Amino acid sequence: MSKKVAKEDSKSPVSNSVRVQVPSSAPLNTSSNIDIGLIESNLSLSPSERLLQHQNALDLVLELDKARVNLNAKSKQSA
Amino acid sequence: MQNLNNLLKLLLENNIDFVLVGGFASALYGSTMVTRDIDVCYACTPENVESLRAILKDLNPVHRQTPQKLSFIEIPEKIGKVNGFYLGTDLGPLDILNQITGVGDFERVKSKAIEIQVFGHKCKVISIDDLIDAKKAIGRNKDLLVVEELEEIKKREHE
Repeated sequence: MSKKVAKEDSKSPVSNSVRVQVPSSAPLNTSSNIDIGLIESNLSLSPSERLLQHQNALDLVLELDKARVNLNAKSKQSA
Repeated sequence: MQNLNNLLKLLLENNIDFVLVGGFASALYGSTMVTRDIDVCYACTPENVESLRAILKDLNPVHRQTPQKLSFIEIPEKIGKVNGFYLGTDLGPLDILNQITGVGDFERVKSKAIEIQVFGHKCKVISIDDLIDAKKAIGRNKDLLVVEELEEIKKREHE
């Protein structure tokens, strides 16, 4: 009975990886509590666009509130 | 369904003399913080309060800090000197403030306010310097975060 030996893949996982170039102007301000990148993004919008974006964010927050309430209700039921 | 933009549009369309303050003003300037209500500075004279009642009447406005959620349309019966109203409406919470802590009364806030074109209307907005002073005066952690953002925004606007 012959043993079949699997041929080792000549390409190692490391050599198949792709190096990602991180932009040198990454918009992070690590010395304060604010995200400069997000502020710059907002400043590129018109005032009306800023409020439309704000409403989208608020809609998400309110949906998350509802989800949390439902989750808490389910946890209490199963307890 | 809550929609603060629609609430703001309603105020703007009815030409009442108010100044946008608080979190919504911060958002207009470019702040990333989400606010759950609209704050406006407004001279709460009896005539002005009646005008506001007429504008809000179809939105079930209530005094949201009362347990019974008393109707803003009916209460107070006689409008005397008030500091403001904290209302709930079908479109979301609306805080009407006679004066802004750290800045002053309506006339003072209005004197330094700027006009920004929003949703096709001119909207008076508290000046960024007054907004920073107001947020510092309140001094909660979240207000101080907004102060940091507004100061950065001010720096960039002047570059």
